[in-house]
Amino acid sequence: MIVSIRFDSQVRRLAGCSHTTVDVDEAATLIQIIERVADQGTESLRTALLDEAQVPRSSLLVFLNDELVAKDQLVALRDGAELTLTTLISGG
Amino acid sequence: MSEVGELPQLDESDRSIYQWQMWADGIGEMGQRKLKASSVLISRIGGVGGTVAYQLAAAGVGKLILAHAGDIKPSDLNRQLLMTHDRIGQSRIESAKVRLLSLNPRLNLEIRNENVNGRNAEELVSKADIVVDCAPLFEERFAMNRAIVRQGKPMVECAMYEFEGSLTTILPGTTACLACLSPDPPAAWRREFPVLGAVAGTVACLAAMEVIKLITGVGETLAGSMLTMDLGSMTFIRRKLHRNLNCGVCGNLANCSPEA
Repeated sequence: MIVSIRFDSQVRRLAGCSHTTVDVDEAATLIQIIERVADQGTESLRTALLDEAQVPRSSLLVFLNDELVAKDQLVALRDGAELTLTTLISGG
Repeated sequence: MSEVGELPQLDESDRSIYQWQMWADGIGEMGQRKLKASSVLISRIGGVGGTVAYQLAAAGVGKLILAHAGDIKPSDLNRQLLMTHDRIGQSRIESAKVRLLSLNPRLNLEIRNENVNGRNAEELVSKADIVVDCAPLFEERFAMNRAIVRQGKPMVECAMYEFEGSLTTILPGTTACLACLSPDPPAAWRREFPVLGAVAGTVACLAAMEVIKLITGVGETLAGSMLTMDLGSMTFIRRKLHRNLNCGVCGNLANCSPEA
């Protein structure tokens, strides 16, 4: 199953691109997908996505088709689903 | 906010200044009286917060409480429109006072030459009906978030980075609070960030509209959703948010109005 990944805000800058795709098993969890994205990306992207224990950071926001989902939430993804990975920004 | 019977009356000066916005559907005389009766705390009056303050002063909000420490630097002037070149080296908050009162001399203005922190957030939030969070540091934003959750006050949460902006309205017990979204600061965030004044100003005007809608009841706010915008590509996306019922800040609040 191909999942489209969109990067926003600082995650996009660290990824060096705005989109990518990952090919994952249909039963893949969100955490497994984030880990796969980290494996495919730059070291700075990996640092933005995963903490020292190599688990997704608490500050990482995940949207499934523009709706916020918890990273440990069980969601049924379809081929072509779009996940957005981003973090809050704070510029004022 | 004030009950209808307690709302201040408009005088002739009010009517002459706000006539055109009172023509707006849903504002009218009652909306203008609500604006006049309202108080808004703005945390930092830089590129975003300064323009929020300017718009709210122009719209006739009765009282603004502004918190921002420090003196004007040359690097402020590309975006901080309440600051002026001739005041470089002088207090930001005093410059803001002069600019705002020259626009609206009847504005009730309280200025604080300090940034929001864990020690003063409760007191500052207690002075206002609505809070606008425009701070550049997550520690300040989290302090404000804790205070508005404890006091049950709405907060317009607005931010920018480079060509991007984000905006949501937090209603404690009803919508996600800041800590629901991010219990910790993002690892990559730095105090200094790329910023264009036009991006900060765009976010600020949208935030001011959120405040006006909260006060007057007109229109639909961003409560329960986040507007993100990329002004580089002119992409605007509205995304749905959810509370984290295990949130360490607001998780103990009963759901006031369950989200669909």
